[in-house]
Parts: sequence; structure tokens; C-alpha cells
Amino acid sequence: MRRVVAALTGLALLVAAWWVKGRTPDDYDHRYAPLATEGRIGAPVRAGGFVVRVDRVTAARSATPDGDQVVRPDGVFVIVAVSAQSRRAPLLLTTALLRTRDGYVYRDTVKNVIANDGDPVEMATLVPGVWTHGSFVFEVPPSKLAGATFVVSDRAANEKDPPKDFPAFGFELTAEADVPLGLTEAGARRLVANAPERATIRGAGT
Amino acid sequence: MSAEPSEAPEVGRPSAEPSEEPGAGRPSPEEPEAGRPGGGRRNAWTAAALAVVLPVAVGLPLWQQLRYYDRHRYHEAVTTVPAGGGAVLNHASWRLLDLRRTSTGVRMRFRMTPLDKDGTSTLEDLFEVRDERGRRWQFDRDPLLDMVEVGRPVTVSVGGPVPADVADRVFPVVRYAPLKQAPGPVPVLRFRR
Repeated sequence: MRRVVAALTGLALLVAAWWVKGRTPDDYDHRYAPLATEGRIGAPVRAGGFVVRVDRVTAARSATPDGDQVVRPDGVFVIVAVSAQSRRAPLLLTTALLRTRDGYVYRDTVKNVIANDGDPVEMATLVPGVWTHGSFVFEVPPSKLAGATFVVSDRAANEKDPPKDFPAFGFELTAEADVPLGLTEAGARRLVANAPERATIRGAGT
Repeated sequence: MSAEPSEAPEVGRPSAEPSEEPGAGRPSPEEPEAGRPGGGRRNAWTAAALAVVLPVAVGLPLWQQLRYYDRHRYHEAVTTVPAGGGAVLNHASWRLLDLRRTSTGVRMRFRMTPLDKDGTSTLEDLFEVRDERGRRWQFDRDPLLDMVEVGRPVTVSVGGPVPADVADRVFPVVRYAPLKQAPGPVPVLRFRR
């Protein structure tokens, strides 16, 4: 009888190990993936130490901070206007990107800094209880817009490319907010077709 | 070489015949372990050894990791300063003069007196207000207030935006925040209003 119980226990442990192993991601970047909170446009998303709300998404064929200096994108400028605040301590939304349906990532570039009239929102210190408003500016090929998701986090931006076959470092289990832009193929075409020739982008402010 | 088995019994090979001597034979493999003479005692010793070894083997590395985490995590050594009182932080004496509301937040003034040469700069001091929920608002200090004289009191005025609904309930904090922080608690002064 005791042998039967031992055999059954061993079998149960084997099955449990097999179950756990089957549900544990093998690769590093999946196992330690950011802790993403998904939201939608217009609704506040609480992620880790910050709250962000995507107010609207527009596009432009060029942008200017002051009417004189004009910045032109490779593709089209996608301007994600957000309101954000921290939940506990001062922080910066230092990482922002657009993730396309097929896995491409478009980070905000130096054109984001130039295009903003004032500090872009990732340079603004967020504090609790006070909404800071501003825009992230991405340059994206129009064909990649459909199904894209806006991703924002207070983790440090990766300044350097990671070594070959090695995931970007510094992302492990960090909080991020993922907000799908809700663009279908037709919606993306409409957004680009209606994009104004020039947009004036205000810097971050409260 | 002959393949015939030898008739002489081999040394060390157990005899196929059961022994006549009581207790001299090996127990049958079917016989339960605890049923052997002395088996129960052996199990007890094994259990006792496991009870000692397992907690040490599992607990010691965990304890070491927790100790490492505790040494390196951010934690504060808070000194609560009574209203009107003073306290020492980063080689300087600090006293809260006042805290008042502004149109967008609060502004507070401190009286700082450097006690020695290391206390003549506020570069490594951070000024905050906090509420009872632990939320923090950090303010920039006056950049001109560097390298004051030892023993000579100066007024430090800092302020910034705070939500209107908490402006009357926040309390001022001065925090020592050097560029290179040694492991251990961070000294913090928390002023009562």
C-alpha cells in the first residue's frame, strides 16, 4: 500500500513539474518581461508608480516648435498627446515607443525634442496629484500604423543597442502602460490622409 | 579454462539456503523498513537530521539574500523635528521657519547653519514635502545657495507645485542625498508644522 502511495505521489510531482515547466517561458526576455498594464485611449492607465492617459492621437507631415524651425519625418509624424502623473514619488516617463502589429519598435527620436515647443513630456518631472500634459512624437512609416500600440514606462531608456542575440537590458519586470491606438487599416489610412502639412507641438506643462 | 561451476562454495557469496541461525539472515525485500530491528530508530535519526539540515540549506542562502537586499534597498532614518525645534543633517543645523501656501503649491523657508566645512553646501540636500499617504513632492533649491560660511545662518527658501487638496496637510522634509550613497539608512529630517 505504501509503495502505491509513493508511486502515485511521485507521479503527481512529475505531472506538476511538467505543468510548471510548460508554463514557464524559456527565454530570458519573456520570463522577465515588463509588467504591462493595458489600457485604452481616454482612460487613465495605472502602471507601477505612474498614471498615464492618452488623450488623442494625431498625425502630421512636419512639425514645428516655433513656426520657423521645421522638422520633417521619415514617414509620418504620429503625435500621441498624453496626460500623466506619478502615484507616489517624482519620476520621469523616460521610455516611450510605438510597437507595431508585426513587432517593430519605433522609439521617439531627437526630432521629438526639436519638435516640442519647450521640454517634451519625457523630460518633465511628474509629481503626485498634478496632471502634466504633453506629447510624444514618433516618426513611423504609414504602412506600420494599423494595429500599433503606444508603450510608455518610467524605466531608463536603452541608449545603446544590446549585444547580438541579447535582449535589451534594463527592462526586467518594469512597469509599463500599453495603449493600443485602435487604428484599423482604413483608420490608419484616414489618419495619414487627413494629416496636416504642419503641426505645432506644445511642450509639457501642468 | 573450464566453464563448469566449482563445487566449493565461493567466499562472500550468500548461501541460497536459509540460515539456521535466528536473526542472522537478511530481511526480505518485501519487509517494510520500519519493521526491521532498529529501522524505526534509523528513520527517526534521518528525520532529525533533515529537520536540521533542510532549514539551514534553504534558509541560510535566503537569509543572506534578504540581508543583502536589506542593506542595499532604500530606507530612511527619520528624525522628527518638533515644531519650532532644530536638528542636524549633513554637518548643518536645520530649523523650519515657515511653510505657506502659494497659488500653485507651497513654499517653505529653513534656517540653515553650517556646523563645519562639510556643511557649507546644500548640493547634497533634497527638499520635499510629503503627505500622510507617503506621496512626495520634490522642490528645486536656490542654486545660488552654495558655499556659505561656517557658523553663519542662512535662509533657504524652496517651493513648488502641490495639489490644492493636500497643501495644508503636507509636512516639510530635508533629505541627505549624496551622489554616491553608502549602503545603510538615509538620514532624513521631518519637520512638524
